[in-house]
Amino acid sequence: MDKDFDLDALLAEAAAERVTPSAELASRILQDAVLAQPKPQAWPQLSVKTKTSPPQGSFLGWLTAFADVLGGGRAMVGLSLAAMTGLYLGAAQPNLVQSLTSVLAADSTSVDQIDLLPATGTLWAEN
Amino acid sequence: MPRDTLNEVSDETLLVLYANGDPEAARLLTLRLATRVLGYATRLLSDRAEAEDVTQEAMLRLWKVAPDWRTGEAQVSTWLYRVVTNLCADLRRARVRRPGVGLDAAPEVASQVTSVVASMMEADRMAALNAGLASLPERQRQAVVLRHIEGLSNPEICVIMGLGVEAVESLTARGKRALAAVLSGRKAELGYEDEAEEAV
Repeated sequence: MDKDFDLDALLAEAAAERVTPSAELASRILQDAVLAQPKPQAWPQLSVKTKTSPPQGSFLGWLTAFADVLGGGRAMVGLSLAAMTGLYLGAAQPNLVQSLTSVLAADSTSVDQIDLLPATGTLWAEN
Repeated sequence: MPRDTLNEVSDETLLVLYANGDPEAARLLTLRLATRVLGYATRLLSDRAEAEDVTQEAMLRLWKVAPDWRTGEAQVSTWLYRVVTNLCADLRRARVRRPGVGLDAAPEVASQVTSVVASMMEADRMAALNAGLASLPERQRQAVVLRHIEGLSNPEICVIMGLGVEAVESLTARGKRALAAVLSGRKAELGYEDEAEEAV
């Protein structure tokens, strides 16, 4: 028998032999795999500002809720200023407004005017 | 991914799946690769406990490199064989530094042959082969095991050992001749002569 052939057969026998990892080794390897496995990245937490709401049932609470419905505190201030200006123009009826309304309403239209406040038209007129 | 599908995918794809958080991929990679790695380490070290430690360490390095793995550059198994080769070399060097432990620490061929013969007397053919392999110089042993037992191609062995093709061929041939020389004259103990006589 050829010496080299013997060795080839022996090596082939060794190649066919499988060294099976023990259950304990497999467990250790899988434990390492779990610990080393990259974790999916979490989405960054969005910071949400929370308002401290006033106690419900109080006037302040009602006003806050009403302001929220209209668009918040700033919108509420704007609306209030616009309402007060309109009220003043309607009540005081300065000359500037009267001349404007006379042009817009034409001569055929008669408007009944009632003086609720003392006339301030003289303050607008130039001497 | 379904298990049937995972069985058909490559090691590299499984590694990418593992890096993406697939738990089944790690189990399949362990089944595929740990067996080969353990067998190779056992042949190189002739010590099952040390081979298991090397296998665990090599697999751990694979898990760690998974997120940065560049696909198409190297085979996973070749990369792993290279890691095991280096780990085993480190371990054997550490053995040499410990007095009276390593096989490589014994410089005389006569004492190596004695240990091989003693091994043959009390063990089966595989134990005799392992003892014969252990008597070879480290690089020859690596080349012979990778080529003739692990069944890798020369280009793959070149990558694992970091050598050129000619160097690998030379190491493999010299290692095989040295192994044959160590095991020759012991055919009866290896069980080949009896089989040959029966065949005649």
